[in-house]
Formats: sequence, structure tokens, C-alpha cells
Amino acid sequence: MAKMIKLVSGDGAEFEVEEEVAFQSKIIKDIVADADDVIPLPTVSSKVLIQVIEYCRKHAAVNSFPLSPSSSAAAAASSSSSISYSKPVSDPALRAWDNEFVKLNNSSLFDIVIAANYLDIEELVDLVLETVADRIKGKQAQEIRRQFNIENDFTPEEEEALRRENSWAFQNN
Amino acid sequence: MGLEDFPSPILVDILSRVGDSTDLARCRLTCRTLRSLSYEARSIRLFCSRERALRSSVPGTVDLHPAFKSVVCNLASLLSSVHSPLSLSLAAERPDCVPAGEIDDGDELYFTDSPFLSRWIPLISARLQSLSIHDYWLQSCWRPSRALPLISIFCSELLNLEIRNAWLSVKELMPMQTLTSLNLNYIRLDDENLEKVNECFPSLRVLNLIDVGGLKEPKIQLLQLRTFTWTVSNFVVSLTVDAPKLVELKLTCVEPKAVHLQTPLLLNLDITIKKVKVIKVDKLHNLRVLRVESSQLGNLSQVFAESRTIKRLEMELYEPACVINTEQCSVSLSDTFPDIEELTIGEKAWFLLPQIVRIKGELVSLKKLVVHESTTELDGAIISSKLSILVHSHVCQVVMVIPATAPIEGRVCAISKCINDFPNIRWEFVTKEIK
Repeated sequence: MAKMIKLVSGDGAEFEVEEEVAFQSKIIKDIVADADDVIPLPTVSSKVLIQVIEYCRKHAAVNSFPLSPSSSAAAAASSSSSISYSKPVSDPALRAWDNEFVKLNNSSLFDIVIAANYLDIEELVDLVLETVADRIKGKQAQEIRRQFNIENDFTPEEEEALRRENSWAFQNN
Repeated sequence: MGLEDFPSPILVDILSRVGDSTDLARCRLTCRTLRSLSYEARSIRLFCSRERALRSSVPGTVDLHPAFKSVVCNLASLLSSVHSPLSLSLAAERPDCVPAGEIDDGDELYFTDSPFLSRWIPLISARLQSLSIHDYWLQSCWRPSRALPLISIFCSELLNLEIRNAWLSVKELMPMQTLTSLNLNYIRLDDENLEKVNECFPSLRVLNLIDVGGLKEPKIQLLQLRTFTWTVSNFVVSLTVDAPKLVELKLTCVEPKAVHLQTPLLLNLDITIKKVKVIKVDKLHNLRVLRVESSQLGNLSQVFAESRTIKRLEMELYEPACVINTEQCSVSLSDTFPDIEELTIGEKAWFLLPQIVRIKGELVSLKKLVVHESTTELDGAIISSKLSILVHSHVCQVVMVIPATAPIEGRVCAISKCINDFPNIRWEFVTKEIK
């Protein structure tokens, strides 16, 4: 019988999850080590907690059957020279699931990454931030402002000076 | 909820993942918060296409199309006011094809040029943890650069360094004690026996020397080295690797006169070598995984397998069937590799299979077999007879790689014959695109 942990969201809803699912969060793993099975999460709403639990459940299932160690020479050769940022998920099926999971609007993604950061679920933080970065790449400044509800707080003179300073980036404007 | 409501560390993280300097410049234009945070991005990539370099070299267009090099210097001065660690990558677009002997005496894309580097590297050297420069071969190939000595003087705290497509001098190179990873790719190096490399990069844990020319009797002597990939494209007299902590080695060369390996802790060896006169290998007590591609398959297998610890083996012939001296290539699997659990046979080796493999009795530990079929006219009977040499009682998994151009009917026939003749096996058939 799998050990169950109870998570309580900010608005008081209770969620019972298997220990290995909850342990995707390093914070929860540490708290439970001090023999505490009911964990209040006042800063996380039910809506977000449900999504985070869904992610943890999927990744706990995969993590319990790790892929056989592939040649690390290839990994070392590619990581030694790269200045790239995130560690890609190696299982293609899991990667596809992750890509579906993050098909959310920016507001939802922001809520999830704040919660994942608080709960210290490194892979989920990684996934959301990589997704947000992808939504910024290749876009003009105006599009970025529109997408992310950013208010332009430059004076017209400041904006003009900035455009001149970075003119090489705006060739196609 | 706007992007600026985010905690700054998360915004900096996102900007670091965006990375490309053009995208970051556009972010800078969106609002004040992103403008200041963009300089804290921990990873920045600057890429210059040939088209852009040409545009900026047209006289009278300096305002509209500033030279890429001035953009780099400008950015470096803005980055210098921040103190967090930085990974910087500078890359020129690669030329489409490089006709032999052609050079370009321009300067716009010559990034390993010392005057250029000395304008901006000192500005950010305190922040720099990783530096990568992909130079433009047509402008860099005909003049030696002092980039390495310069970087060694200014960036004494650097952890990772990568340089591609350049001619590098090592005169007055200073020691870089903190450098743990070095990647030189398509380089002409004026350090023919790698003496300066050994002397000035003593803490290296990862080393990649890919198509590094100008070497004569190169010897790598690095106490901390763990992973080494070495592709030697030109002729060398001898190759030596003296690395007491080396765990993984991938060596590709053609026909050196001699090879010496002093790598007692090696776990994983991948060696592609057509022929060698003298090969001396200190006994490899821990070797678990071996890939060997050679015209001297028989000889080399015995040299590496002396300790009988190998569990995974991949074997392949260096030359196509018509050139083979089958005696030199013949491997006695049961004598040399009695304990292997996984065996992979490359295309050329599979083609000549019965002649190059000798087995007495059974390979009792063998559980998984991977074979690469190269002919498009698949003959189920031939495949099956080759398999029966290798599939022993404990083999439970076979992966067969088939060329994508093999006609469907032939594939179906061969596959059903395999499954019929070896019913207790877990089969996997993979198609491979021919390059």
C-alpha cells in the first residue's frame, strides 16, 4: 500500500497523493522527513496545485523506470562545449507530454512556475521557463509587449535613443 | 498579470534562456525592467551572418548598419557594470563550401583577431565563465592569431573555452588554472606536440580536439582529464595519451606510426583507426565498453581486451569488403570477449560476417545483439544464417538496422524469416536513412 501525503491548497482544498508523486518536490521531501504528513501550501491555489500534481504524477511514473545508461561520452562531448541552459528530457514520449502540458496561456504558466519554484520542482521550473523563452524568441518588441502585457514605460526620447543604440537588431522593422 | 510582476531572478533566468543578442535587444526595448535585467542574462550569443557583415562593410552606412565588431564592443561595455557570471558565445556564419586555397583578406568576420579581442575581453573578463568563438575560416585561415595567449592573460578565471575555425599560436600562453573544459574544433595549432596545452591547462577534465592540425608527435599529459575526444585528420608520427584519471576516450585517426595509451582507469573506449605499426596500451583493468573500427580488428581487439572485463562491444571494419585482409580482421569472440553481454556489428563487418568472427562454443553472457544491414537486396536466408552464428541460448533481444531504401517486399520477407527462425527473441527493426 503506497504511503499517502496530504497537500492542502491556499483555498483549503485537500489533495491526497502518493509519496513518490509528492517527492518530486524537494521541499515536500524535506518536510516529510520530519514526520509531517499533512502539508499546508497557503501560497498555492487549488487550480495550480491540481496542475502541478498532474505533472508530478507523470514524471514520478517515468522516473521510477530510468532509461538504461547511454554512452555518456556523447553527453559529455556535447555538454562540455555548450553554453546551453537546460537539460533536455531524454525520453521522447515524455517530452511530447511535456509540450502538451505547457500549452497554456502566459498567466497560467506564470502561476505554475511560481508554485514550482516555491516547491523546488526543478524540472517543472525548467520546462516552464524554457517555454516562456521560446515565446519571446524571434518576436519584435511590440509583439513581446502585447504577448506578455508589458507596459511601455519609456519616454519617446528614451525609446528613440534605445532604437538607435540597438539599430542592428531592428533591420526588418 | 504582466511579465514584469515576476521576481527578478526568474526574469533573468528567462532572459538567459533567450540568449540570442538580437532577441535580447528587442526585450530591452519593451520596458525599463527588462532593459536593465537584460544585461544580467547569464548566457548571451552573438551571431553574425555573412549578409550582415557585407551590409555593414558598404561605406557610408555606419549608422544604419554598424559593424558587428563595434556592436560586440558596445555590448561588452554595457555588460561590464553587472557582476554575475557570464557565458558568451560569438559566431560567424559558416561559408557554404570552402574551395581549397581560397581566402578572404577582409576583417569583418575575423573574430580571433587580437586587436579586436583586446578591445572588449578585458571589459567583461571578471564575469566570464564560458567563452566560445566560432571564427570565419576564410578570413582566419591564413594568419596566426594570438587569441589564446590573450585570453589566458585576461580571463584567468575562465572555466570553459571553445574556439573553432582558426589558426592559433601558443607563444606566451599563460597557465589557466581554472579551465576545466577545452574544445578546439577545426584549428591549426602551432604547438606540434601539445606541450603548451599540457603546461597551461593542467586542470582540464574535458578535452575535445577535433580536426586540430599542425601536430607531429602529440602527447596529452593531463592529470585531471576525465573525458577526451580526439579526431586527428592529418598524418602524425605518434599519438600518446597519458591521463591517469581518464574514464572515456574517443579516438579517431588514420594511420599513425605509433599509439601509446597510459589510461589505467578507462571505462569506455571508442577507437577508429585504419592501421598502426606500434600500439602500446597499459593494461585496461576497468574497460567495460569498447567500440573498435579498424582494418586490424583482430590485433587491436586482443590488445584492448587483455583484462577480459568488457561487457559491451561494437566492432566495425575500416575499409569496404574488397580491400580487406580477412586474417588481420578476424576476431575470436569466445577467446577475446568471453563475457560480453551486448554486441553490435557494423555494416561492413556484418557484410563479411562468417569470415571475420570465430566462436568456439557459446557466448554465455550475451543477451543483446545489434546488427547493421547495408545491402538493399535483403536475403532472409543469408541474414538468418549469419544470425545463427551469433544468437546463442541467452540472447533475448536483437535489433536490426535496415537501410531505408530497401524495397518493402524484401524487408517484409526478411523480417518474417527472422521472427520465424528465432521465435524466442524480442525483435526490433529500425530503418536508417543513408546519408
